[in-house]
Amino acid sequence: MSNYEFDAIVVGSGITGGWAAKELTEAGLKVLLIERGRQITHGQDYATETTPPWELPFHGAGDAALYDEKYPVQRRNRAFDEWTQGHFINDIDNPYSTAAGSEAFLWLRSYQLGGRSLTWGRQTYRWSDYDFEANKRDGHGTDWPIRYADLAPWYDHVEEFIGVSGSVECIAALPDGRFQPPMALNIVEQHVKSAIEGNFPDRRLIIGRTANLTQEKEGRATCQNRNICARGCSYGAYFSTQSSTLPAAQATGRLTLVTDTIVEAVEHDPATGKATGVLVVDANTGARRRHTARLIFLNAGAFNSTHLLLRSRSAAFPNGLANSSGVLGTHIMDHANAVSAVAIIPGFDQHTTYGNRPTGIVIPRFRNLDRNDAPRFTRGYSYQGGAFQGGWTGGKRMPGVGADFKARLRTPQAWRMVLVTYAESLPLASNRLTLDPNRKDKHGMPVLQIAFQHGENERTALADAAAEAKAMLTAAGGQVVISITEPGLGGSSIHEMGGARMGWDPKTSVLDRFSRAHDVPNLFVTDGAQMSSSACQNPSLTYMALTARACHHAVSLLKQGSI
Amino acid sequence: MEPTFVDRRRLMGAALAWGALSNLPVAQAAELITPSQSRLLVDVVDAVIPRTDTPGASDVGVHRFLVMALEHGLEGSRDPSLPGPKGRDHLDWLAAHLRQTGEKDIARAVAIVDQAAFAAGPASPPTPWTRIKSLILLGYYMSEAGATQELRYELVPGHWDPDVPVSGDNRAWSSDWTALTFG
Repeated sequence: MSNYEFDAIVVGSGITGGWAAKELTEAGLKVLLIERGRQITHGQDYATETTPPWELPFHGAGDAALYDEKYPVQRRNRAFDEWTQGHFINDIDNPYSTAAGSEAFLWLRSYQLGGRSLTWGRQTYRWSDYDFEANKRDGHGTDWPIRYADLAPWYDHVEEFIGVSGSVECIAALPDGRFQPPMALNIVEQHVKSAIEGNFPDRRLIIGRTANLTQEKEGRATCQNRNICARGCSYGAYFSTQSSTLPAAQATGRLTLVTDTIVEAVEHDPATGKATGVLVVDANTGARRRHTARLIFLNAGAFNSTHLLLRSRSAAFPNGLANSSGVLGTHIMDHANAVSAVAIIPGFDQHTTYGNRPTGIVIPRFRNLDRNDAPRFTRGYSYQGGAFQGGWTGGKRMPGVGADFKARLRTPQAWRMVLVTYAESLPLASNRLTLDPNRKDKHGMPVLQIAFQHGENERTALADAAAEAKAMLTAAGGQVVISITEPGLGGSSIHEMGGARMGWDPKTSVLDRFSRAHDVPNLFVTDGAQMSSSACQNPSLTYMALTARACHHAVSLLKQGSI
Repeated sequence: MEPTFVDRRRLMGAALAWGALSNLPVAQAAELITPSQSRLLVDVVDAVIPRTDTPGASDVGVHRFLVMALEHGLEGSRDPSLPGPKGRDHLDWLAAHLRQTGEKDIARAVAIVDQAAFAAGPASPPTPWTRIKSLILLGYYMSEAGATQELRYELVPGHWDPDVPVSGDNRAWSSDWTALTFG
């Protein structure tokens, strides 16, 4: 049929790479899936999944000296601990730099089969037209070339396959999906919900929509309410590449998977204008080889896909492949987050819970929707969090010793309600990725340089969010004990996105409305790099829906013979 | 197990085991503390978490855990940006501060040091004592006896009940990871 080894090459096996592999193989294509990290086999390689803390040398807290030396960035991930450390990269071997004058950026990564699908937070939300129209409305960034209606059927398709538990709520800013039954709010969250909805008619508190099963799916059991997902789940109860998309792709018999293989560059033929394949480096031996295919999908994660394009330089594209616009690497984003309020909620001492629910609550965006009700900033924010009873760790900050102290820590501590804000991150040209001109990694590739700063808009939104969070928890009878307005470092939401934005105009955007490079007709980028704005919802579901949609489009173009 | 006496050989054995688990050079691990430091630590950890109807801290080896945890910088105990002793030097700091109380009874001396550390309120920044205390709690509540006898441990709850009336046994869950992270 052709001289190509494969019909398609998919770079990266995380949340979107697994989806690309599944959709393309199921459409009949012969696919090579390339993963830079190691093989992790579902179930059998989740080495610490059932290990009790007393069998770990540091009881779960981990070897701080080791972490300081080798994981100074990754250890800042809340999911990083002595059980999960093997699911994160070593910072020494995987360097990046921060541009002069930029704040530090936490680039939190998992290089392994399944990528961050093994360690993600699993919160699963649709975007609405408030989000897809935002750039056009206020002029920040470039207009999205798609609207909710373009994506809605693909949201359906993805949700039905991965399994999302959630409640139907008819909230315009957070469209409902195809849900499995929701997990329940606990007794204190129900109380706070009533207080908020009774006092603030424009606001809702609902259970977090999560990619944890409440009904079995083929080959996957329901969630066991352990809430230790990032160790890996041999029940297959949360969506990961291993539990979900990879078995589907493998079942077609058309998938070739290689691990420990880094894609150094996407190769391009200036005569045809198309990508021809990839140049790869064996992560262990450093040996180079190439693979060819008719279609290339980049799913390495927003920054790595952008990085790969930046270093795929040629005479035709001296500033990086698909970068005739010059905007490749620009307009990166990450939600500005802060613990807006923690309050002690009295009156529920005679109530407790059983089990560890793997999701929290969400208060969907209510600011600046149909009315510009918070004119000091544009766009909005939403809260995630929940109510819980403290455990023995509260004793670290509590005076006391001896039998009375021990007795006090024997029972659960006071109920608290936490609201963490995720504020929309505006797409700014000055927040950008470049190749570090001075530094190379051990394979000789220039390292990625990150310039990122949260802006005044994000800070103003977080200040509003803190004031509103305090007002809401106070209305629920809470005593606010913590309230923070300063955003966490860039990257700490682990929602880094942008860099190869989608847009109408090839002069001002990298990708078209089907996630395809304007400059290279057989090259698709369907991870977070394609995002033109950030909304304030967790983005992974949208990446998956865009990936499935792009795959469908690519296959139809192949069948037409137009690429 | 006799909680107030640790013989040198058992300590060496424990240190060797820790060394093997933590990749710390074994010779260094075995020489981390003196027998008199070890005796003091047994008393200190038991002053914080005594034996009651469940084992106390030294019963489950928290005095040994504490030394290794300090050596490996847990709870910021080797953080160069924080004032105060580093790593194992916390033990000298502790001995000196216990002495300064003028109390011969270690449990009373520990209570005085604890009171002083929290005098500025619970939100005050970590001090050498709050770091030591935090590591004693980690060593105890995540030990098998601490997690499963003093508290309750259930790796696979299997279901979620959002409202359970409190009955007689209201022990906290050592396996409530949200409580531990945010608590």
